[in-house]
Amino acid sequence: MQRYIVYRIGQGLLVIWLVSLVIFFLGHVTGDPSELLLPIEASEQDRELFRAKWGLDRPLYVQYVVFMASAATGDLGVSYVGARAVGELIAQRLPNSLKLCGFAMLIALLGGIPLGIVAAVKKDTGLDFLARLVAVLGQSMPSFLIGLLFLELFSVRLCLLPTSGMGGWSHYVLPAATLSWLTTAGIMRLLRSSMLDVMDSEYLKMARIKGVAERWVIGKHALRNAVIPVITFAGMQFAIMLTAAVVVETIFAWPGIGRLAYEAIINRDFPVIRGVILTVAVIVVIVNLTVDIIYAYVDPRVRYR
Amino acid sequence: MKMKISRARLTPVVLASAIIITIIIVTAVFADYIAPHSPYETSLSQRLTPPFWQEGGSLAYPLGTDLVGRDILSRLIYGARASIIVAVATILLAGTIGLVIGLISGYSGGLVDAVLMRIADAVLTFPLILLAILLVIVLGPSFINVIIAIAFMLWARYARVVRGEVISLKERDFVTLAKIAGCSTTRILSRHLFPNVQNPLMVLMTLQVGWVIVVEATLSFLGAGVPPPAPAWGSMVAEGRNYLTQAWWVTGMPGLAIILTVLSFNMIGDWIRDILDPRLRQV
Repeated sequence: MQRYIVYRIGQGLLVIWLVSLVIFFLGHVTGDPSELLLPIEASEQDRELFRAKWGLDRPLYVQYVVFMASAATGDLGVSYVGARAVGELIAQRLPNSLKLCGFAMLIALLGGIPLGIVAAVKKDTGLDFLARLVAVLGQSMPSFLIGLLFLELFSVRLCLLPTSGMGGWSHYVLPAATLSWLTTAGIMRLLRSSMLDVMDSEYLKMARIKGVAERWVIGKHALRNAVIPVITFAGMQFAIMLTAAVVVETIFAWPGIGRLAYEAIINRDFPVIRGVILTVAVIVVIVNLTVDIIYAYVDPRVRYR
Repeated sequence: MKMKISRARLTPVVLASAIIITIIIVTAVFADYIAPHSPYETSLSQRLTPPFWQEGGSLAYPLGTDLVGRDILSRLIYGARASIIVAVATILLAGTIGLVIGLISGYSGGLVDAVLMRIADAVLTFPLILLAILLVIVLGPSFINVIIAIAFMLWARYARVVRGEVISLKERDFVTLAKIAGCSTTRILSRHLFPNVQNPLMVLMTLQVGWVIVVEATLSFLGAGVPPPAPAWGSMVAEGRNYLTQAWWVTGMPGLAIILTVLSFNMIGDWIRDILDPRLRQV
């Protein structure tokens, strides 16, 4: 078990390193940021000064080492725009994104699990068809369309919920529902198929033969076993949500890191872009690692793979 | 066996999806002959004309016009071309890279395998949309760069599947015999292993067409896709988003086009998977 954990941590670090390598050098393929950030009429001297100030005149590998060394101590540099510390910007925005994703995950679990159970238990009935329709639609509708649809319907036409920004609980409903859509569909589909597998098993037949009440057969014997892959899936989805939040945060003007990244990309504010992508990568790795380790405890077969 | 065949039966839904996809591909290919107007031709006097069945609509602009009076149907038709080209090219590119890396990784094993698969794992955990936007903005928004950006995110999945297949195949007798017969590694990979990984690769490729169209639309919605004024469904949705109440069709029509297309491709993808490789049902 310990070997497995150490191996997985090593792998996670490798992933983070690769991400840092890609985003760092990607930021430099276009060449000199000073050309983009300074006005066209800036003199060559100004440009020299600018490059020296940001360390852009040093060789690339030196810049990379400096960037990584300070990143390791938590210093992610300073934003080109507005000259604020990147770490501070992220620290300010990250909790908003995490709250949004947490709320979205809650909706997805509360929606997807009952739907999945119903679809499996009432297989081939109208309810199953309806649940599968939701799942298929969920996987075919890009989140920006769902977001716009919700916005038009609930905020503009019915005036029930606020259109944008952050505030009370009502501000969470639309962006979280939009963000949860795809995950709800995924959880439902996965739980349905794993429930169907479990319900076909010998031990479930045994439980029925023993005379266990049907709701216990479903609720305890079947669900407990079928929900394991759903937990792994939900963990991975949380990481995906954090990235998908770019779209949702942009539509609903949510002050999270997704919008921060989007704005930074449009402004070519590379320190911020690097900071956000690195932060997201670290969170993704931690979440995946935790899920894998929990999974290895629950299911010993995983450790030996 | 019988059960599997009945699972993959040709349902009306599959048939309808096939018809929709055929229509989309035909209009995309023959856009120049089918589109009633030029997708760029603006006409301010005709701006925000509703679709023909609504009051004030006309058959000259069957699905209405946008904010600067361009014909939405024509833009949808040319937009279909953009979506299809990006989807096909991306999947071919990612599929080829994934195939080659998967073959090499699975067949050689050891250090090569470990290094390649760790890279694939890393790519799979990248914050994909962010990275794609970054790639497109950095390389400059263009057709080719959108394709490169999405393919860069996609190849690892193919590599993983192909590698898995190769590992289970390479100990089989036909590979050993090929080795004894003196086949070169290239020949074993291309003539003996490749035909055997074709099915799962095909399945995965068709299953992801819908996904690629969604990503392409998302990128162009965010302004990091095929550059305007070239018509792309995602940017058309974005153009009308502030006019939803007055003119729903500017956003609604491309939105419907995206949903119908992706839905159809997903249905066909599921169907092909059931025929070729029912084991992949879980993927």
